[in-house]
Amino acid sequence: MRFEISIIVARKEIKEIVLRSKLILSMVFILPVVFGVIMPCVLAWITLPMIAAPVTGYSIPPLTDNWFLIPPGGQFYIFFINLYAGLLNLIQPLMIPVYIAADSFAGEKERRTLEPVLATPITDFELLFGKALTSLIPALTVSIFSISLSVISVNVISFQVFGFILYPVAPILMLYVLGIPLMSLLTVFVMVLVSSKVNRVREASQVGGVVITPLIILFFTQIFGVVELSLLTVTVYILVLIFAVVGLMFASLKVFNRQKLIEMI
Amino acid sequence: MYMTPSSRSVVVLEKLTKSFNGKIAVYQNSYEIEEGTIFGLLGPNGAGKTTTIRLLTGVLKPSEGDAEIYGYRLSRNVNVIRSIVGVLPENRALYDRLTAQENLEFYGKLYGLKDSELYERIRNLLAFLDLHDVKDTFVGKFSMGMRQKVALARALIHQPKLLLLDEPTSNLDPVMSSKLKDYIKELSGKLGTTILISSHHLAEIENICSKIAIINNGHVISVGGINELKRKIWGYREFEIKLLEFKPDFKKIIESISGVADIMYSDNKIFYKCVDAEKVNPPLIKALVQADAKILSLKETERTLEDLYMKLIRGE
Repeated sequence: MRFEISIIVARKEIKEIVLRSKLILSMVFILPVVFGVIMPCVLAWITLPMIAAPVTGYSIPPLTDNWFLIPPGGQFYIFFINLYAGLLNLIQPLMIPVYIAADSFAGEKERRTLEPVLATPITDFELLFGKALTSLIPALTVSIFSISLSVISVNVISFQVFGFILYPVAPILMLYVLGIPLMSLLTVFVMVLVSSKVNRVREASQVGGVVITPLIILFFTQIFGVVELSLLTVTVYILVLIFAVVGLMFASLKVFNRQKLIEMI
Repeated sequence: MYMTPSSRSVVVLEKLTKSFNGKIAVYQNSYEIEEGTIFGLLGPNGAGKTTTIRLLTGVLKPSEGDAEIYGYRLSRNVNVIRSIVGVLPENRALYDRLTAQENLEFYGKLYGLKDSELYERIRNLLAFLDLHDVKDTFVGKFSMGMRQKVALARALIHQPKLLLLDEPTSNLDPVMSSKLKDYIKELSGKLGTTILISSHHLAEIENICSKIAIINNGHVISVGGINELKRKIWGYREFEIKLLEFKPDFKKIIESISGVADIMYSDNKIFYKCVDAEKVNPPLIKALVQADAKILSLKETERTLEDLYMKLIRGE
């Protein structure tokens, strides 16, 4: 495994797919502003009245050490802001790789540009790793940028009321640190498998939308109080993600080899 | 200084076979290609030429058989083989959203070229192919001919020992096509690069290839030098004698010479076939001269590669 060869592939693809595609480039710039500033700010402003009149009927897990000191309305606000701002920031590492990986894998099939690359001394794994980096680097960069913006904007609005930093709470922070790279990887490997079956970028990105499922499951289990948002549940979620990523990586390696790729062209 | 092709075989195909879903797509009989040779691969569409090229670049894995390229076995050293083989695929396969320079840089780096060496080669190749002025233009905006040139530069970027060209002159204008043929000859002659060309342009193959393989339905049906194959296929040579004046007596004289066959007469011309021309022609000319025939010319009727191709593929 020569890491520098994968970097060469990733640099070429980021230039070709990310920086020279209007759709992806606009996504990279617009998503952090929308998901990191506009929507969290709107949420934080419009839900501040919840502190006085909390919505009842939800199970609210203790998310901070001094939970017992916070009135029920404040608890719900913290839970609500963390869940929604968290969801918004977790969508990006899933959405961005879908489009980049669709262009990188299915796009290369559609444009029939793979043959001379396969004729060079690059190994299948170096190529796959390079293409994975192509999706991971922008996804992680955008996510870090967007999370930073949302942390600043939410806390600027809520600090005057609470007097402490209420977002992100530990489970959400854990999801950001461990979940985002894992979810991005999961998307890449799903896209490798999807691209092995379809020949068009559009089809691949449509089918690839399935990657959002684990996040939706996590979100709705919180909303309906099925599972509490705690370090334990996030740990379990992360472990499930790790197993899924490892399994999908092996499945992708099986599909992503010269023989199969060239036969598809 | 030009090198003559050495007798060292650098590409050895050993019953190289590729099957898809149990159906044989290519079966290459065992044959060899000498170093510095320009070797032509001829055959109709779907004959297996592209599959053969993909096997030799290590992109496809053989179902059976093996090949040795510059001493490396396809079955064992495929990555080394990939580093010494350059390929110009049929569809050119360029990145439209990258410039000509960026396309070449990417491939040069994949082949492990150092920056200083890489940029010098890119400069030279772009200059040779008249692409220097458009090096920073996206390939997607290029004409077919220009794309062809960039793809060719890509195939040459790492100075391969074996160059595989699939229809190299299609989409090129006559001037560029001729320039490219000269360059191919130069690569083979000066640098000793072994070149395999797959083409439908029979005249082009005849012009630059010293040996050919004719492939049909996945099977190689004939391999050898073009003249050698012509002799093997037809088994005889055809001649035409032009006289100032034809006299009926000449018929008897010609028919009396052993080895002369299929004689035809037309105006002042005599057409005949013979196997061993060196033994047949001198006594025939001598007999005609003694009979007071005024011989204006004696020439061999040339069989073209197209004739050979039609004979082998269609049995015409």
